[in-house]
Amino acid sequence: MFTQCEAVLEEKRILSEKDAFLVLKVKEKKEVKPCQFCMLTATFKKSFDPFLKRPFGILFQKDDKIGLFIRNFGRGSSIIVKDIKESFKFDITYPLGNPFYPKKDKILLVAGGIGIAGIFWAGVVYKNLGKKVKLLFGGRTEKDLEIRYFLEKYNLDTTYYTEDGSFGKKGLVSQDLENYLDYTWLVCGPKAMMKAIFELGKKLNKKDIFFSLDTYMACGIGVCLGCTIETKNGYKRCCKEGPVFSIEELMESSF
Amino acid sequence: MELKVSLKNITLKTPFLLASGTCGFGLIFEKFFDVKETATVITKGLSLNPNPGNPPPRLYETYAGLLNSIGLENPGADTFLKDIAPKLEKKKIPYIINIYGKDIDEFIKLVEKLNKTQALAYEVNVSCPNVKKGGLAFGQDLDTLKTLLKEIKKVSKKELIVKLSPNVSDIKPFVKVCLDENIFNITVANTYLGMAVDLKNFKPHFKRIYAGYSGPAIKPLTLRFVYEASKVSEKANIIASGGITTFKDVLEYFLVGAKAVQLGSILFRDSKAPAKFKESLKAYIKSLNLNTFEELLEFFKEKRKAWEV
Ligand SMILES: Cc1cc2nc3c(=O)[nH]c(=O)nc-3n(C[C@H](O)[C@H](O)[C@H](O)COP(=O)(O)O)c2cc1C
Repeated sequence: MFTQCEAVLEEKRILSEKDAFLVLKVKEKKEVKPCQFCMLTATFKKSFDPFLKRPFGILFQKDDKIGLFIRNFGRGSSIIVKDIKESFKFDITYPLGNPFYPKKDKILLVAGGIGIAGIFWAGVVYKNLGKKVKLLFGGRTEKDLEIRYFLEKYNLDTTYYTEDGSFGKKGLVSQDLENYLDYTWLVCGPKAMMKAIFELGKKLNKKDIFFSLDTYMACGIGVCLGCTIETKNGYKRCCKEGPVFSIEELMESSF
Repeated sequence: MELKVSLKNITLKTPFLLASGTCGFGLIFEKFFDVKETATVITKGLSLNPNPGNPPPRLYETYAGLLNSIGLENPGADTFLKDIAPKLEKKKIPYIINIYGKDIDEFIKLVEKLNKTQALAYEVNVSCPNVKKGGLAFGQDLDTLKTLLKEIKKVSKKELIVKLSPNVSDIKPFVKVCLDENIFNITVANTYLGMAVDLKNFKPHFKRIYAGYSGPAIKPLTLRFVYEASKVSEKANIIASGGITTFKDVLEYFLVGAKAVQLGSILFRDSKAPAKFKESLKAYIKSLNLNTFEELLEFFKEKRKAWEV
């Protein structure tokens, strides 16, 4: 079950002009399960602007620390990435969302850029549960994959992709998916990438594909009904029924 | 310390309420604090039949606040009666049902169904900007409001609270309509009509174009309405709802005449705010050498007398 508590920024690394890696020490320790996320205040000092907390995937958990990988997308994330310094005290609500455990024993994680934050920890947990885990991690250039230095110690079997070929295989993270038809796919990344994989999955008639979606959220705990997405079974809350949805319940307009 | 406050025929254990639509059905807040000792829950707007709500996107963050276009998504009266009310009642959480109908007939059928609950009251929502029918239409026309309230009074076995709209130029006549109908508990107010556009795609952000603005930005606006509404009559018990973010905001509303306050959007940012404000309120009352919350209201009332020009 989740909690709301203080989280002190212990370590912050700027990975590129737009990405930061953060380690937070949380006052109350709660077990983070696969695909769960947190809501974090994104205001400097005592300001209430921007007003809402921001949802972020939890990259890993170790003792009373959690790791986050944050891209400067807008006003809130820009404050976190650029302005907030070590020892800053955030207010956090975590872990949130419906944990996702696939049935199959072979799992393929497909992460595009910042999307790694949504599914990496799931891979670690699955591996610890004895499942075979393969990670495909892609970005536009090597800079987008810089976070790997913090992830390599978890020894997930990983193949890297960059669009410009500056690191790993040249091309898109989605290009080799058909080699992994006997795996369950868990996907997180930019909309365009997820849509492409959704279409591929439909074409292949592959049913065990799951997407970790991210939408704007106000509360993260299921009360505001603001983060709903359209599914075949009606509107669903991304924060509560999600963030992971199966290809079978999603539609083109869900993304 | 005694924090109870008496409105017309309803006594609240504390002057804090969780605003409709910002706390679900209140149960999840048990994870954050002892709800029954801290606040009264106002349910998400409930309609006779299940309502799927508006298509996404439903949120847009603005400076110091947010726009929402939820569209009163709710599971309908039957599910509420079967699955939700029993849980609230078992936990002895005091609750008020926020009710909404697209026409008078639906309001009546809804109230008849809900009369058997242990809800403290109904909060009649005549101010939701996010639905096609009913909602705001009831709250912007004096005659329509009057007719609606008359009809609901006939069937309601519970005290009524009317949640007025801030989307009017003068709120006082709306307060008077409530008082004329012998309804003395009034929530001021709801969200403000606003809109957002998607410049990249040259279109409105929301499919219904307009949405409701809430959060810190609206507090001074609603503060004005609460002050004006509370001046209409001694008999009006005003419950403030608009932009409360800090404990100072809470006090400001009491100072201008509110008897109770609703915590809304702040719950998204700080779900423990009600418990924090309750402790701050006790400390504040003590710092003035007063003993109860009702004494604080008296104290503020005396101060207000000097304001009149
Ligand atoms: C996401 C959201 C959903 C809401 N749903 C309802 C509702 O169902 N019924 C209602 O009467 N008011 C609803 N409101 C209005 C709030 O109860 C409150 O009156 C308003 O947000 C102003 O207060 P605040 O600035 O403290 O949030 C909603 C507000 C928000 C932000």
